[in-house]
Amino acid sequence: MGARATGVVMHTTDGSEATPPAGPSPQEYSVSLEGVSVAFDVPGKGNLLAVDNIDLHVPAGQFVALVGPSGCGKTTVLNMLAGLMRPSAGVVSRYGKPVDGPSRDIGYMLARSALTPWRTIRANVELGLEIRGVAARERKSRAMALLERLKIDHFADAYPSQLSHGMQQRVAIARTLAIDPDLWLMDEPFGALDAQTRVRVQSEFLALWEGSGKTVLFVTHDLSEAVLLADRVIVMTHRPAEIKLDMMVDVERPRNPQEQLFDPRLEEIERTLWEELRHEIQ
Amino acid sequence: MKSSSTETVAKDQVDRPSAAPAEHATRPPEQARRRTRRMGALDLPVVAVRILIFVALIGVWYWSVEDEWLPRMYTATPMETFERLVEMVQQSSFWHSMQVTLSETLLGWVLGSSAGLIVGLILGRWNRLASIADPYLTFANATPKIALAPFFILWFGVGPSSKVVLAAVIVFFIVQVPTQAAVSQVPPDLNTVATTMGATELQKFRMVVLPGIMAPVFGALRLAAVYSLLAVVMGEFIAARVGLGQALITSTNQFDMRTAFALLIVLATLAVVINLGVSAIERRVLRWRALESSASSVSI
Repeated sequence: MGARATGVVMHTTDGSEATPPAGPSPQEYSVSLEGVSVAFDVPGKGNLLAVDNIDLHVPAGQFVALVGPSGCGKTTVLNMLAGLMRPSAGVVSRYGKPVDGPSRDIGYMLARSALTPWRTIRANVELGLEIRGVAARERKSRAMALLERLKIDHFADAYPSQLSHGMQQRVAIARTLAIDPDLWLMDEPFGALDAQTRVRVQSEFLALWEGSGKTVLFVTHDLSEAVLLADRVIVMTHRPAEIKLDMMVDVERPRNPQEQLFDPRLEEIERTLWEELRHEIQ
Repeated sequence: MKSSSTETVAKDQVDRPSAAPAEHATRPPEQARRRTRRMGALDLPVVAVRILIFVALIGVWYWSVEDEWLPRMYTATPMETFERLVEMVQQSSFWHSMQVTLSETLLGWVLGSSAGLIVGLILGRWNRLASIADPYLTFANATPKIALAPFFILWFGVGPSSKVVLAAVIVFFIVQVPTQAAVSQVPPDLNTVATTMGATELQKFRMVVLPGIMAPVFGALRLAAVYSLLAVVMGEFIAARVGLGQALITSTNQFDMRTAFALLIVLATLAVVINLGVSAIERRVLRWRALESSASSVSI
């Protein structure tokens, strides 16, 4: 197991030869992980296997929540998709093409809002557009439209330090989505928010996504959040991460987290997942 | 019914800052700014105490001269100094000295700062290069750089160049060290965000690194400007044809204490004005920071 992962074999040819599961062809999957393993070189400890032989296929337009104990390699999966790192073995691909670096149609929202303190709220939202060389007027109108949808447009000229956590997180959502990415990678985006603020921001986020047709990979350690928001919940094991359970959440859309916080169907699914995850935590 | 009550609770809660920072945090920024400005302008007791201390200092000065704590020929009263100052500002030779000293200071500051900024950025960006250069820079920085003045006068002459070089060398280290440190302290998250958005190295430098180091760099630039003046005056003490430092050393050599005291006040005023000038630019560039600190001061 260790030997397979230690070699830095990037994008081996067998990735293209791997037989996809029944259903859509690899070209139709927004996200495909095939036999993906990741090993880190930890000084003094040798090789540490973080992700072990994961296979995951996400059709375009699906909202997938990745749940698992902390430090289990969920963020590593997002980092690979964002092109920040490469798997030690296996292939990470999008629509059949291996990911080989940051891509302009991926939006990545980190757990910390990571707003630029010297930019106004609007300029923060415009960051990605500025990097792409979008003209100032276009940038402004797109940023303002998003800020309005998240109801923070009256703070457009304020600086991040003047905003509360909840609002900073909304700004980070706006910044991630301003570039109109095809794949949204969200790394515990609402983990630091208090309960009431979280439900509110979850609803706003869901309203932005539903009907957009975009693919979402949403990392969280909060089961109820996963069930509330996602079409499909993937439970990962303790490190080295493997997929323990892959479950669909068959509850109709649009959903409203503020009203469905105690929906019995969602609670039932959550309970099933909890039974699985419980053993991983111990 | 249950859901509607949850909704109103959520609405009330959400618009309040979660981490209870500045209580005005959710108010539009203009309002917060207006409030701090008013607070700053109204502090009369501080102004009154300041004036009192000023009067007391002048009093001590006057008394110590009149009472001859030091031999009278080595001192001048506040009145004598002021009279000499008024006389001096009407002489073209004074303004010529001022112009020479100021231009040497400015040139030394600009050259030293630019070099310090560039080297600091390069070493901050490439750590291995920094490891190579560090022992040498530390050694050079530890040298009392004023001790180089006699060498520079020999090498670059008694004219302005020797003063400019001395000032630039001193300024270089004042700017290089904090710049290098600041580059490595730019939050890595900001770089990651820019990377995932597909930013090139140049874009990251322009949008993340450069604005990210501005606060510490400006602190250094402000300090460096005053040290540039100090270096130039020291250089002029050792050997110069014109300049305020040269005029000061000449006047003390001739026991012309009225002139010496007047020049001392001119030099101190210059340092303050230079400091204020750089601060004004700093406030403009770092507007976001001023708002940040005003937010915390209001919340106390």
